Amino acid sequence: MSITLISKEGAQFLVSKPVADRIGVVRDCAYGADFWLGYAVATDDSMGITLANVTSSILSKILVWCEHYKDMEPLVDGDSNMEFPEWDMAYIGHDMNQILFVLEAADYLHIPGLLLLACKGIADVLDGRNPRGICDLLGIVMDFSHRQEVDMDKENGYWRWFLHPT
Amino acid sequence: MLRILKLPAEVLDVIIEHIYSPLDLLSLASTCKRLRDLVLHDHLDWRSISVLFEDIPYLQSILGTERRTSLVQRLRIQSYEEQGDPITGGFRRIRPMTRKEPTVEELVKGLASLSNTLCSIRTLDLNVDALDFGHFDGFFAALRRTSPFFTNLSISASLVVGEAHEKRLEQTQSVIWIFLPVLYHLIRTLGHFRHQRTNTLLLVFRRLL
Repeated sequence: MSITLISKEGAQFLVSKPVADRIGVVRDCAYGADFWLGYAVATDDSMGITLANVTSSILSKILVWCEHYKDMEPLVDGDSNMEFPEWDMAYIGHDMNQILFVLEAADYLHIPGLLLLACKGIADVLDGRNPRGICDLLGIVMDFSHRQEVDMDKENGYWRWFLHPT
Repeated sequence: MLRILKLPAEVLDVIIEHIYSPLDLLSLASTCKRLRDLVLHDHLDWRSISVLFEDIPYLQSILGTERRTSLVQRLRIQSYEEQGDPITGGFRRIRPMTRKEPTVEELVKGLASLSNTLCSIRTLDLNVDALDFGHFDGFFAALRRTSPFFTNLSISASLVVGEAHEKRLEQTQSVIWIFLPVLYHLIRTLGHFRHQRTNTLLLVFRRLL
C-alpha cells in the first residue's frame, strides 16, 4: 500500500505506508475513517493527501527523515542533556532558515520526533552567540526603549553575579 | 525573518529548554521583549531553586501549573537556612512571606505531589536533618519514575536537635560578643581619620556601652 502526498506547489510524492506512518497528519487521514477497527480502510489512495503549508523541498527533506526512521523509534522526549544520534545532527545541519522551515512543517504535520530534533538544532545554532549575533541571525529588531535598556543592563549584571558569584 | 517569534509558545519552550548554559540564555533574553519575558521570568527563574524543608507545602502550591513544574531542573531542600552568603551556587531561594508550621501530613503530601510532578528534574540536593529524613520514604523511587533524566543526587544529613541546636545558637551569639570590641576599635580608628563628628558620636556610643 502506498500513499500520495501533494505539496504546496502540487508536486506528488509516492510514499510507502511505514514512511507515511511517521507523519501524524497523514496517519490520521489514512486511518481516521476506521479508528475503532484499527486498520486502514483505503487499500490504495488514489486521490492523494494535500499538504497545503509544506513546500516541495521541505517535504522531500522531511521524507528523508521519515524514511530513516521507518523501522526505528525516534527520540520523542528529551532535555538538553540528551544526545541525538550523529545521523540526526548531520541531517538537521546548521542552516537556521532551513531548520525553521523544518520546524514549522514538523509542527504542522505532527511529527514530534522531528520537532524535537529541530528545536535541538536551533538551540545548537544559538549556542555561544552574543545578543547582537542572535538578532542578526533571527532578524529580530531590538525593541527596548533606552530606559528599559538601562534596567536590562542592571538586571543582566545581577544575573551574571547570581550565576557566577566570583 | 522574524519567524521564530511566530512559533507557538510550547515550541519556544522546547527550544529554550535545550539551551543549557545560563549565559547563553541571558544573551537570548537581551534580544527582544517577548523572548526576555519568556526566558527570564519563566525559565531562568525556575530552573534551579532552593527551598526550606518546612516550606514544601508552599512550594507545591506555587508550582501549581504543569508547565512550571516541568521547568524545574535543579532542586535543593534544606532543613535550616544558611547564615552568610545568600547566593549559593546559583540557586534561587523560595520562601513564603509568612510561615506557618506545617503538619506532618501536609509535608508528606507535599513531598508525594512533588515527586509525581517534577518531570524534568536532574539534580537534587538534600541538606536535611536526620530526623526529617524519615519523610523521604519512597520519594527517590517516585522521582526516578517520573523524571527519566534524574541522575545527580547529593545528600548531606545533619543531626541538629533540641539542646544541641540551642547550644549552637549560643555559640554564634558569643562569637558576635567577642568580635564587638574589635569592630568598635576598627570603627573608631577609621572615624578618627575621616571625620571629627564621628569621634563625638563614638564618644556617646562609648558612654552608652
